Amino acid sequence: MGRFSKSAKTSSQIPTAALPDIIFILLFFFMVATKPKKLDPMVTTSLPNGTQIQAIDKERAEIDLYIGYPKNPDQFGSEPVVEIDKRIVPAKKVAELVMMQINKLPSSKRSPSSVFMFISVDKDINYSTIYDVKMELKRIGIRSIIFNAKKDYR
Amino acid sequence: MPRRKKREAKEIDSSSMADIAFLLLIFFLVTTTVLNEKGIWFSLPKKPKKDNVEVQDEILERNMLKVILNSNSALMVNGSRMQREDVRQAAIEFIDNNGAKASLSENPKVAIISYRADRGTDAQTYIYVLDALLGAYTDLRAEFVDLTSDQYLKLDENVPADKALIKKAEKKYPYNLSEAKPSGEN
Repeated sequence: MGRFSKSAKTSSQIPTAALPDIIFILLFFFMVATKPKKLDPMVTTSLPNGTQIQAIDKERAEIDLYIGYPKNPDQFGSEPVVEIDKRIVPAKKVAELVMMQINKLPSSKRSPSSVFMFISVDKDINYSTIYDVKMELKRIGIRSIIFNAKKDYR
Repeated sequence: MPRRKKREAKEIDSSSMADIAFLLLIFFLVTTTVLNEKGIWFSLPKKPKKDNVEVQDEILERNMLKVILNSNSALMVNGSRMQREDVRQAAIEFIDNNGAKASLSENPKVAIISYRADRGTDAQTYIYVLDALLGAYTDLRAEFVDLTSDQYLKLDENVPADKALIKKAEKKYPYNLSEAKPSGEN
């Protein structure tokens, strides 16, 4: 029995000196592998479903557009509106703001035919607003549109 | 000068370092996202040059599939009602008819799908049918290059081998989806 008493002297503490290093490695991983969240849009965006979901081309510049009902109807009314660059505008004024966004891009990506619009449409609005926005985009020479959608597993 | 006593600690206490790193880590976890953005690709037509807006070859009626959504989001294909679940199959049959049925297209190159939604159509139905029509093209192209539709959608245009496949499939089944103006527009 006396033999076991030796082990009682060993330290029971786990060395924690390396813990900060481990956490820092995790931290760097997350800093590299993720990107900042976008701010919550000011309009409703319950996305429709789709099957033809494709990843977006990272080489090309992207401009975000939200079409939906304002979350704050007292301020912006109850009709569907368009949000671009944290500003709410009626559908007929989209072209100006999109051009402003395009002009902010680096000059190699600035042509309207090479940028694409990433449009999050609320599924409860009607086609009228979408059509107006499309006509505005067509007018300034935008070629590619991506409708944000949830993958539909059928 | 009074000398410092040797007994004072030389090391900085680093036990709180882990806590600081943890806080930073949690901050990044909360404010960032790993989600890749994805969506339904879709192209707008080129801006027409003013002189030749009306110059167009006459299109045979059989080479045109008219897909119309009304303000109640009801679907009509070539003049008869259709459930929206069936439109994908109908489009596939129409495009890939190759002259077999007299009412459908002569070949995929001349087969045009004309898609028209009313201003009152709801967005969900509009996108559902658009997705189905694009899906018809994807299914045909994918089958042509021996891939499943999901694999075809994952092809990357920036990879030369993938691009060759896309080009080959698009040559066989060119994208002829035209969106007409809603009724009452000019």
